[in-house]
Amino acid sequence: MRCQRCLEREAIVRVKLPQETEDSERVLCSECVRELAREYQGTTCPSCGMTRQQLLHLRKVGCATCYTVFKAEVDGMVRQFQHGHSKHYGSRPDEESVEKRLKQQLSRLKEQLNRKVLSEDYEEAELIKQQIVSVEEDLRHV
Amino acid sequence: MFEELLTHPLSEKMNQQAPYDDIVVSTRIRLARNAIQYPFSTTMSEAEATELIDETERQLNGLKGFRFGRVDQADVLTRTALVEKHLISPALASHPRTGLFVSDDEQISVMVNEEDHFRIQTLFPGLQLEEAFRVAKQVDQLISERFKIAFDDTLGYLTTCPSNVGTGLRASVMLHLPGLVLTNQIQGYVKHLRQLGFAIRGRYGEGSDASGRMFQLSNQRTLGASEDMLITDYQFAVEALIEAEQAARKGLLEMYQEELEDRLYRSYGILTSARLITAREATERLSDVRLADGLGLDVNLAPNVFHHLLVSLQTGFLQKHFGNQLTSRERDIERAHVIRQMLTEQKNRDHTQGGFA
Repeated sequence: MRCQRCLEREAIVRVKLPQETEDSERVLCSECVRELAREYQGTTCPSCGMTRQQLLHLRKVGCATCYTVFKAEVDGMVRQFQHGHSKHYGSRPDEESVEKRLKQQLSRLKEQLNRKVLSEDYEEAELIKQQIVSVEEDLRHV
Repeated sequence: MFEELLTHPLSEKMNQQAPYDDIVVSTRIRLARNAIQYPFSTTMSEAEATELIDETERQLNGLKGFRFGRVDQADVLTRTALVEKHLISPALASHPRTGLFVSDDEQISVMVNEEDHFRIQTLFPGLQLEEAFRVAKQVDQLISERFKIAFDDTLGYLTTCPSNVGTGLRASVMLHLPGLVLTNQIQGYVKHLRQLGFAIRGRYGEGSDASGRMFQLSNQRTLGASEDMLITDYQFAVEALIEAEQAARKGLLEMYQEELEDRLYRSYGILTSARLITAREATERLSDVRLADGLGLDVNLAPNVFHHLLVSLQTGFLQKHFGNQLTSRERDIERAHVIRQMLTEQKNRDHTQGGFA
């Protein structure tokens, strides 16, 4: 049988190619197999330069992009390390902290205070001032 | 800048009484985080690593009650002593271009350029998982507001090693388990806990042996459950170990009271008389004396004093304390001296306060 890649040499192995989805089995000659393997292992992360071979050897990634570039490999490692789990249910980095919330509240109050003072609404201003003091007090504790 | 931290083996906070401190020495929570604009430690260049340290220093410098220093620029003894205090990991001590943010009360440390860009760590005495996590999360938020953090909707926080991906949360408590060791039950528990997804190893983490019958229990899985759930599961495992240890101690006392007392009092005798003692023997004997105190025998070694001695007797700390390189013989002499002094102090305190027998 002829090699399905070079269509010249005699095929010696039947291999399953990892990336292609449909019809991923190929019959190849020894040289084409080696070439494909080199290409495959040499796939490089465009962002950090980590190769697939390095990644599999270290069992660590080179940057955040590696998680996408080497998705199949990384997912396999994740399942292994994480006892079959593959989804995150915990917190997120964009959640607001108490400090940030209080600071935003403080700047809003100060703006309101300014407006009340300008419109000479001193009673309201006094109330807002008290709120500012209490938020500032809270801020000291975070 | 680290000198001040190394004048005392235990911080004031670590020296306080805490829940389950007769068995649980300390609780640690660690969060692994990476900034998205830098390559991870595996592919980071020297220049990028230095830049991250500088940027972190700029961003966090305004924080009250924190200090910052370059770990790679500290000498070997200082780094060893920081590891012995559990303020940094052994890995951070050996990496080039590393930094450390540490709070003045020493409960919070942020390691820069460990395996991940940021390793946030909180350290509490006794068993205090929830409190330790709460504080770590606050620090995490401070960092998330200053750096864009590598995060994926499905996989959660992205880490250098996929074993930390998701929450990046590793809880770890140090336990003193003489009962389970003396009754030969510990191997069974180690195996059992491994099957349940918990790692149990020696005092300084991977590869270190369990000298002084001290063990470190940590969760292996960091993905597939919220932080609260991971901590609840973990707490169950710790409580099971505590119960087993309590049962083992009780059983020992019931079945082999004379043998046990003999062994523990002999260790006390050795510690109060020895003139030369190795770190290994010292930790083993101290473990005996601590157990004796826990069982109500006529010796006095409170949990915090035990912990204090464990840290101060380590090679790095001992040399740091004496300000120069000591030969191994000199260390053995100093070690024996420090122990004798401390145990005498404890004994006298017992008498002045009325004590118990």
